[in-house]
Amino acid sequence: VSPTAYAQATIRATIERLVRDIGNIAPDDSRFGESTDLFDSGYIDSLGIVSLTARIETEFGVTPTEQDLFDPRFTTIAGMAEIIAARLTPNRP
Amino acid sequence: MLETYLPIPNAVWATNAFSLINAHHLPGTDDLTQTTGRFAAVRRSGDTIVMTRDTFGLNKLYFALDRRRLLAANYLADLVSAGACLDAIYAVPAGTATTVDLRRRTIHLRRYHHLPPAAGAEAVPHEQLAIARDQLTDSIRQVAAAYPSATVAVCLSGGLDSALIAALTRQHFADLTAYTYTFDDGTGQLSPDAIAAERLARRLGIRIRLVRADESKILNALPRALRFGQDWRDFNLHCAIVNELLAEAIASDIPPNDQPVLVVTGDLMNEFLGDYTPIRYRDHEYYSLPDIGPDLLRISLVRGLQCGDREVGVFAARGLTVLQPYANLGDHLLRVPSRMAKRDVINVLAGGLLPPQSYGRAKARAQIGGPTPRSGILPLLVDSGRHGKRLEHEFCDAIGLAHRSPLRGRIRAGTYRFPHQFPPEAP
Repeated sequence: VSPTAYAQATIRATIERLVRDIGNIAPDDSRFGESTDLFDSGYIDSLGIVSLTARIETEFGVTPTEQDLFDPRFTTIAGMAEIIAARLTPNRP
Repeated sequence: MLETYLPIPNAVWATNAFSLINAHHLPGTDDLTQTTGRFAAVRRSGDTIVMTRDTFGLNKLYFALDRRRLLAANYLADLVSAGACLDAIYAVPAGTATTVDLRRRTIHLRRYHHLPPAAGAEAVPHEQLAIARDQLTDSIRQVAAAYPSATVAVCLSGGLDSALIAALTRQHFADLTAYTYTFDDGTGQLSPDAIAAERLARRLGIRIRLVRADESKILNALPRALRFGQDWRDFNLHCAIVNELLAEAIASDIPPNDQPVLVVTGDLMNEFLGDYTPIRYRDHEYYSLPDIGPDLLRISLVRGLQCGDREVGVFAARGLTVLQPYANLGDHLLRVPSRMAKRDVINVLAGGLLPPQSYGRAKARAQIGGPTPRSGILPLLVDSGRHGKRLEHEFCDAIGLAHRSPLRGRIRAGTYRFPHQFPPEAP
């Protein structure tokens, strides 16, 4: 497993924990997963996204930008992890 | 290639002076970090269009990219009327400049103002509050210096925020009228807020005009509050209704003349200090807040200011220029610790200007309260079915959409839609 893949898996697990907590999602909810559209499915509403972004900032020290918030990837846990991982990785020459 | 619909003038404080300027212009400084107030400016040079918006997004700046043009507007309704599809409409985020290059098909966002990650950075805020107090006084003095003959109204709710603004404005404008909304439930009783406002106005030597509104007047104000307040969510909409009623009264009292009509308000302090609580009515929670600590909540509330137009848009649609002096103190107020009570903050800012009894009243909200706990705008709208999805539908109607569109997801974490890349359907 590459360090990048490992980091993304860790980020995904953390975001999943945050989303489950904020959305009050049952552990055995079979509809919920890393690729579920959190907005369309109603797991995260307009207040939930405020809590989620605030807790992402606290957990990762990354503030989602306006462009991040409306990036189509930002609708799923897997996509959010990609965005955050990219922001955490220093640019290489 | 570029079409603009920018009827709302920019109201800016820069280089120790206040001015109202055309919406296409920014004040005479390139350093936007030194500019306060509210503005939305659009400038074109060849294929490049730069759209700039004030620190807290008080002036709205929506844009749409369609096959042939970039359209920019203060009001969503103007973009809809010019043929833009709702799904092609975005907003320039607060505190940024957005550069669109139509030939290269690029869109670039540059942030010139950053909100802090959390409020309350200053454990002992005396210095911040001293700066804020001077800045507040200077802001109003500079308005009086620039427009000594302006007709001035102040919105006086009966609460502390507007009380301080009224007292300061009174120091610089001799001829001033306070406008106070009160719900008319047919009993002739005034709301506790209106009673407090009357008492304060007398004490400050300000003429007061009570604006009474009964059920039918409030429901009649709804379409304009939606259209020009540019928000379907209950809290901002209820505020916009109060402001629409006040704006109508002010505009009808003051005949058109060649001087601006300035409406000074105490808005925004609640966001900077996080002074909000949810309200329960008929077993449902309204004005809900996110489940985060007070320091983060304040930032979240301030970020959300860019998405509603409950004051600037509503008053401007009646030809009135609203001034929100607390906006100029935002960065200082956000440093005040969250544990500091608002009355203590206002007390420092007021420096003895307000009578002691002003500080003892329990907080009430004009948009909720009538003479009794079950009368007012919130109960009236809820009981007439105007909440949730119904308000979304009425919003679509009010801004002129031919088809009602889902609005969910259009605002995320206090930010209106912004394209993450140059829209593929654009020219």
